[in-house]
Amino acid sequence: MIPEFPLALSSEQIANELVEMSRRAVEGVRALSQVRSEDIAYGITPKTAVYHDDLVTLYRYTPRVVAPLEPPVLITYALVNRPYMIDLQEDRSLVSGLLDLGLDVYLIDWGYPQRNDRWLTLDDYINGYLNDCVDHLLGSLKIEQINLLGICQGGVFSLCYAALNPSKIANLITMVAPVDTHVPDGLLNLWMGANGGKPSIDPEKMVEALGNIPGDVMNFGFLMLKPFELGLQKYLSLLDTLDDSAHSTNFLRMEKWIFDSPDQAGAAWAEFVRHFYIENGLIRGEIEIGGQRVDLKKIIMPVLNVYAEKDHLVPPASSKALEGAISSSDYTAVSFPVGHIGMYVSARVQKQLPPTIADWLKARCSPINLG
Amino acid sequence: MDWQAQNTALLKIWGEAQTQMLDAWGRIAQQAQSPFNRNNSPFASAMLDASTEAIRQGIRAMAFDADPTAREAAEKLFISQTSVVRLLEMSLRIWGSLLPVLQAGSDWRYALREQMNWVKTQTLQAATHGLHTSGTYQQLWSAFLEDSQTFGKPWLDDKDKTTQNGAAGGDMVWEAYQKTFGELVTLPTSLWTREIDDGMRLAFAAWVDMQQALYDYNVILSETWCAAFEQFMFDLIRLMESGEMLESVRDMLNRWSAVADNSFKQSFLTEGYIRAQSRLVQTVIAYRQRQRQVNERFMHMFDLPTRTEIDEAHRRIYELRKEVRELKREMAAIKAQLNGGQS
Repeated sequence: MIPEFPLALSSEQIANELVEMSRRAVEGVRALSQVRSEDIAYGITPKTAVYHDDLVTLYRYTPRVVAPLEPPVLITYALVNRPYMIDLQEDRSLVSGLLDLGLDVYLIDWGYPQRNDRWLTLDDYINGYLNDCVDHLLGSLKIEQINLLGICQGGVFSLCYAALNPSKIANLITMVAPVDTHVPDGLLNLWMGANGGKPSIDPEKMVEALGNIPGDVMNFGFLMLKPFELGLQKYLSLLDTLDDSAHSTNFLRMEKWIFDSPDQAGAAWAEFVRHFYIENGLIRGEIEIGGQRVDLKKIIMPVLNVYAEKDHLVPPASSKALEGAISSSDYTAVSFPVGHIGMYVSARVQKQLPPTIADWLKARCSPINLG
Repeated sequence: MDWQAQNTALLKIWGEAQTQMLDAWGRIAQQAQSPFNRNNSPFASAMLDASTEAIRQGIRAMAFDADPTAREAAEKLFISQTSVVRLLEMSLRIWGSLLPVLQAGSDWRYALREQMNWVKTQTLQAATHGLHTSGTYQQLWSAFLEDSQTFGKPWLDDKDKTTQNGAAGGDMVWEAYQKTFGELVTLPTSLWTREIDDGMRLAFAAWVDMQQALYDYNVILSETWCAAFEQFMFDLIRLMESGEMLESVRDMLNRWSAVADNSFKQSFLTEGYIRAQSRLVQTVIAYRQRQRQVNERFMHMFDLPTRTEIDEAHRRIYELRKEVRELKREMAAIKAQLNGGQS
């Protein structure tokens, strides 16, 4: 038997496929060169700025029902990347899904830190901006508690805040939040210095040299976690969907979001890497924010913990560790068979996630009458 | 199908395919009116390599008004397509060299390893091209100065002038004057101070460290790439042995992507990789700090504020704002207390 190259194509077919691929790629390049910024607008759900402080803006999304659920949901997103991921487009919007289901949704936009923000600490973000947004809501709405939904790093912030201010939080929802950073199989954890031994990076020195940590540096790290899938395959997949303009614009919106990475305020970034990753301080109860120890055992309110089963940035075990760390007697964990990004953009998750959150909240809250 | 025949036929029709691919991309390159290199290499990747810059410029010209994200995606699409061509060629080339061994039923693993050694040498050269890890002190120093042109230009210009003056003097009296006294009195005007000299030397040492770290890091990456490719060839041979077939070039690419990502992940988890990455980050940071020190010495000379001074000013403003915020909070609490007391 003569060994064959295991490609079920004749040489002509191989050449033809390459030529066809070239032709499609050229078509793709032509099509992409026609795309204008307005074609890939994002963050489509109407919203109003209700509070502003330094870089930070608190938005309220326009409710879609007369009597939204009380108290409102305040979403706190990560400092890494921009929060419009949860409102990317009409059919892929967690925010829109929650509004449709009768929730009153607020969002903190952390803004783009500038060089003069390098001294901002986690105390400023959590006890400062986040607390001020919560207090603004409590004061302006004349309520005593809010529902807090923290996503990824924002989930960690929400845990710290809830532990420090349990009386202000009625219900806590965390999404893909890294709680235990020393779990196995976390490549990002390892690169962030969470190896349990000698740290592989010195975050303070990095900040000393760079000031803020450039968003591009962070992005390079994220892309290197799957260099071929994210750097090669992803772009070739465009060839299959060139004729579907909706798909192409979805792709570009995602692409825009991925590369829209704010610089990280130096001091806060160094603290986050040092205390949460290298020292794994959250799960160990060793974190101090503004001189107050963050004791997760003080989280006694109902908690919904949502995580992604194929998350390569925050391994499921890292999020699941929350269950054993808090005192809440009302703890629910829900997972979806997707990756970290799939939590925001997967069509299936976008059908299931909003009702999961809304139903869980409705079982614990009551509607208010806006009329 | 007989692979040998397939390979020969492939090479025959390659010229035709190449012409068609070139025509398609050539029209893009025309957008920038860039010189487009139609070389006659039998390998499409060489053809694409020679024209990459022209095509990229063409894409940029064509997508001038496009959204920046779309423009970048267009470039990445082009680069990804050239990667496919390259991967296919390389796989076929290695497969061709393994063919006699496979036909003879000999140990193809040994043959594959031999081939991979060749691939490794080539890859390492490509991965470390342009890095300076060996050479005389003078060669390294020249490379460093070239690298430092932006931040060290004023210093370099003055140093050049001083050197030229010395050479122009020539006679014994001038030499005696210059070496014993002249350099001292010209220093303040030429800006060449001992501090800057020291700073440049420290920056040079940090740069050499960084080059070495970059080299070591690239060696690991290129070795991982080779290991991934070897694994990919193993997979292809196993497919052949089991009589399975890939249905298209895209299928082959998907398999490569999965194998490569997995190999890189395994490598990224090793202590060796973590150490190399860590050292790279440390040396880049150290070099950056040395660069900054030299820059700041120049800034001082020209009475310009330095980055450190601005950072310090920012820190003070930050602290004052924090204090004001706290005072406002306290005042509001006192007011509320007073109002409560009055009512």
